[in-house]
Amino acid sequence: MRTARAVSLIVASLLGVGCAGHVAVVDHYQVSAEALRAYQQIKIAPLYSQDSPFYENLGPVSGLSCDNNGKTRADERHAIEQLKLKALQLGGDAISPPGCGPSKGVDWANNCWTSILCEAVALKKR
Amino acid sequence: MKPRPTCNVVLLLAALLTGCQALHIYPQHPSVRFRDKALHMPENLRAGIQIVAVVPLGAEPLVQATGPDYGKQGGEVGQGAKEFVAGTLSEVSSDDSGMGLLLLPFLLPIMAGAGAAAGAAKANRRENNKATTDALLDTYGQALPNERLARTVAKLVDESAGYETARQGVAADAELRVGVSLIEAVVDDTSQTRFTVYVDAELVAPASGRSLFTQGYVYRKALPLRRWAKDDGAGLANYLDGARHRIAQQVVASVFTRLELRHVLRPVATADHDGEDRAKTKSLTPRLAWEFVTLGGDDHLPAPVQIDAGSITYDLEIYDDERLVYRRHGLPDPAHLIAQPLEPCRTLAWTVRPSFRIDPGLQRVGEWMQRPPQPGETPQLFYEGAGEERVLPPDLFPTLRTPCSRS
Repeated sequence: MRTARAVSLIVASLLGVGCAGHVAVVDHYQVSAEALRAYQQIKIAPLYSQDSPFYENLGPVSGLSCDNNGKTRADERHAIEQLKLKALQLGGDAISPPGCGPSKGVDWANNCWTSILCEAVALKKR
Repeated sequence: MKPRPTCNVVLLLAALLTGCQALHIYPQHPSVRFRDKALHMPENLRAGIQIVAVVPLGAEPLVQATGPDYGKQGGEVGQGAKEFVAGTLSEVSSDDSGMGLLLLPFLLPIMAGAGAAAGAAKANRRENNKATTDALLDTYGQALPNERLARTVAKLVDESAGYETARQGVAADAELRVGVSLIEAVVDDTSQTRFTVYVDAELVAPASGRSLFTQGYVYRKALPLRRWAKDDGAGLANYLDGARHRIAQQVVASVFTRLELRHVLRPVATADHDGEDRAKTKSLTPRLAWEFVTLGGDDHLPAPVQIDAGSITYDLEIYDDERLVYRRHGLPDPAHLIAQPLEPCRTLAWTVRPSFRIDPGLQRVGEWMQRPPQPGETPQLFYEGAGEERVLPPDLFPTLRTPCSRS
């Protein structure tokens, strides 16, 4: 009984560590051709646009670039591209200026040796 | 390859149980990756070249076989016996029961014998591997002569818009020297034998003799030795023939026509084929379709590239293992009805490549369509190292399965 409880505690805590902070990655190959053309038009809006009356705030978006095999380098441009793809999925046409940073060591939550995470707000021009 | 960070069974089980996606990140498709640099010859060097003389390099290729499972190694039989006994002794000495020590005198000669037999079997296998590999290389080692490679390169230069090969009496703008430098077999102890063809290409200005661009090309494939040797070495013969075509294609693209743009190029469903990798076609003459979208962000190029959308045509190729079985050049639409019946009941690799006009009226080609990388697979670009390109084998292209009946 005690062992079973210990195992379930370990599993639960591992799940907590493993999945908390996980960022979904949009695969270009799962996106329609129209959306692939459209996301390239998504602009980075000026600073503070998320509070501007000229933009509708559609919510925060996160973009991840991941090195998950030690060979493919994490790249900030890829993480920003992820932000744009996600903003498009929310119906946006712009994102706020992204804030990006590298993971501190191994990024367990996303199963990456190293990663770069960017965050922004998806916006739609009114 | 470096393994993924979480190889932990508990984490994996837990993730599978809960549907957590953290462990299921697929590698990015190589075509969407941001490139560090362009591998093709720079456009400023391409400018002004129209007539090309393709010249085979003089020396014929070096042929060699190596590897940990190739040929007998000194004292293997004795070593096998020694290892077996040493292993047994260490196991017995860690056993506190004392039972093992009592049995040891009886077991030792048997184990030494077993070890020797295992060592002998290993030595035999290595000798067999050596004999087979040597026979394959003796038969096919010279099956890819430089002359033949140069002819294939010349044919592909003539097919490329804006270029032609030098005719007699016409001075060439540049001389392209190509040759196979090495054909290498590495017999591995994982029972795979890896054959690699190395080709060198150099573009030279004929007037000054100045070297304009040099690049190495590597074409590699690993199979169990018995599959290379099957049907009197047909596996290796087909591989070398495929290597000639694939390498020649890459030499011409890299020197004259390729532009590495970030893109998505993927199969699209038709009435005959659902577009999925390994999907069965409904007929032996299926209609295949695909779509090509550029993504921008080509920071590795000196300037942004504007493609004339109306100018895009496609080259289509279908491979049966290494054998090119179907080829069409300059298809105007992103779809094609296969004109000659494909062989029934086969898994074939198929791929397309876009060809397009860019700003100052230059015709350029993109990359061949690759299937999405499998989980855990390292996405393959054609980067091998400094000054070397990896030529992608048909294994990396999407596949289709033809129906088994001829109807």
